Amino acid sequence: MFKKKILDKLERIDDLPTLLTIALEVERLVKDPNTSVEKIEYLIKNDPSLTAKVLKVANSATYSGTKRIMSLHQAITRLGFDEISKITLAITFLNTFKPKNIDYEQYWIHSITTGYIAVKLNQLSDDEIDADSVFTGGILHDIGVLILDQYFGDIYKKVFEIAGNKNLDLALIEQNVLGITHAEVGAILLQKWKLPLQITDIILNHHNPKNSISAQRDTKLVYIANFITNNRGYDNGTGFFPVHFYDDIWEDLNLSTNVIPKIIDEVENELEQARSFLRLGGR
Amino acid sequence: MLDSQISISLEEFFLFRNYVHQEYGIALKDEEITQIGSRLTRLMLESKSTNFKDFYLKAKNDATNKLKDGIIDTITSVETDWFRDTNPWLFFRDKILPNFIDDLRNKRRENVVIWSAGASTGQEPYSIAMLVDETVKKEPKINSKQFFILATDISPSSLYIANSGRYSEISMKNEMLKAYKSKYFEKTDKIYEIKNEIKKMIYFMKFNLLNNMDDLPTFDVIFCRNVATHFSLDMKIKLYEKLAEKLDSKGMLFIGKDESLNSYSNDFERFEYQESSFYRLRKIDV
Repeated sequence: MFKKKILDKLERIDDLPTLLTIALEVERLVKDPNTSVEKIEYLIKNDPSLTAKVLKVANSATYSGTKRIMSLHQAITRLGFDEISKITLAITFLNTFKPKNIDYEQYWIHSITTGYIAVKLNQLSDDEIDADSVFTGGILHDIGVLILDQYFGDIYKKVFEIAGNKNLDLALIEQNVLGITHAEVGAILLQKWKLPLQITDIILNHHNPKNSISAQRDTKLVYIANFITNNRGYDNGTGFFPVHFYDDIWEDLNLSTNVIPKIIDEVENELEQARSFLRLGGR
Repeated sequence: MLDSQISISLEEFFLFRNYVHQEYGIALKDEEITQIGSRLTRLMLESKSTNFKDFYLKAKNDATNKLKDGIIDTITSVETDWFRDTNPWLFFRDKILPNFIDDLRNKRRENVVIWSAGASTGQEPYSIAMLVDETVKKEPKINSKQFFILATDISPSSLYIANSGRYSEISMKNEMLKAYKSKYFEKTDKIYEIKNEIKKMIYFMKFNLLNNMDDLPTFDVIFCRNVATHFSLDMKIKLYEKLAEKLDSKGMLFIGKDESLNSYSNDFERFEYQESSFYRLRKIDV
């Protein structure tokens, strides 16, 4: 089994990707009551490429409204700390991994769309609750796939192909062939990199949301959002088309079936936003 | 000699469900236990299995994959199918619809109200809509809007899939569907999506058949096929009682090929037409 080999290697990955250092520091700062726009601006400016991308995304239709944002300072003030933190973290991941076999664009369109849909589902539910981690958790839910592709490309290529050819659940094939799933791998590495607990929880449990301890509602939102994105035809690259989700998870979220037509309509919007985000903030 | 139906215990069902999930990534729902049992009977008989456990072991060790393929086919067709059982649909298309068209043309009625009760993932209501559209298109003076199709189910998951109208290649393998595929579906990669004009013909709604039906309209045709199989005796009696109240005096009720109403209701009379059957309200002699 490959499980031990994978766990060992994950353990040995020491270096935090540069951009991630910045993004995590932004995240920490945003929670600090003594923070300021200038402090965050100063941090992001450490990386010109990151700065440029944050600005581009901030200026996209999704975030900027009609007035053009001319500086990082303006972006932070206009969008707010939370939004800037989320955008910075997302851009970081878009630029951190070098896909070997995975289709970069397909993967990220799937992931970012899932993030946006999860946010929308929360808004459409009858008890819209603060879902802080849902956007980031949605975008990163399949990060284990990229990690496995990056560090275990040859082995993983076969797994990925089997899942795609037979229209089978990727996690099941991974469990059978590798002894470990992309959900576990993603959670392990991101936990090592000290991402917030709620995010790693979502990543670990996005196929089994009821197992989530610290972020169950967010995980359930991502679970359904993942289904919706896949149903729309944008899977994570495996070609997996889902035929069912667990009804009780939908009901737990207090989602009415009356909003289904609205969701289906809105998916087109979310897809557009995802494409835009990737184009402006990605490689 | 084996019984005509091998029943499957809960334990065996769970065993089978795990196996199917492990092997094929397919998640069987709790409610499918009865259907699975009867569906697998044929395969079990063919493989000369004396009981379910025997069958399960044969399937696990099947090197030719023939048995495995048979299982996959059986399981994926447990979900509602397109034009299920064919004959009732031919009857609907060749006799019932033309009669309605005639009524509409001669202004004997304004519209036709159809209910797909227990519509699951949408194949049944879309089957209805395709046939209506095909028939109506031949009539210049009739509009498909004169046909109101209500499709209800209790499952959000099924309703989502039905609303999206998107189906994988595996679930498109029906014989009668072949003639309608290119006309009514758009294909992207391995996914078929039913065309918008057909989607628009159906009103999808969450509805529990155990609930009060007072707010529903009166229907000219009700499809309630293979839904009541999961219900208890009591529930079945109540269901058919309510359906009788919702059916127009000249309306038709279609139930599943292997189902029967007789033990549960006196309100209906059974009619047969070329290997398909349907029910009408029994006329009361005053």
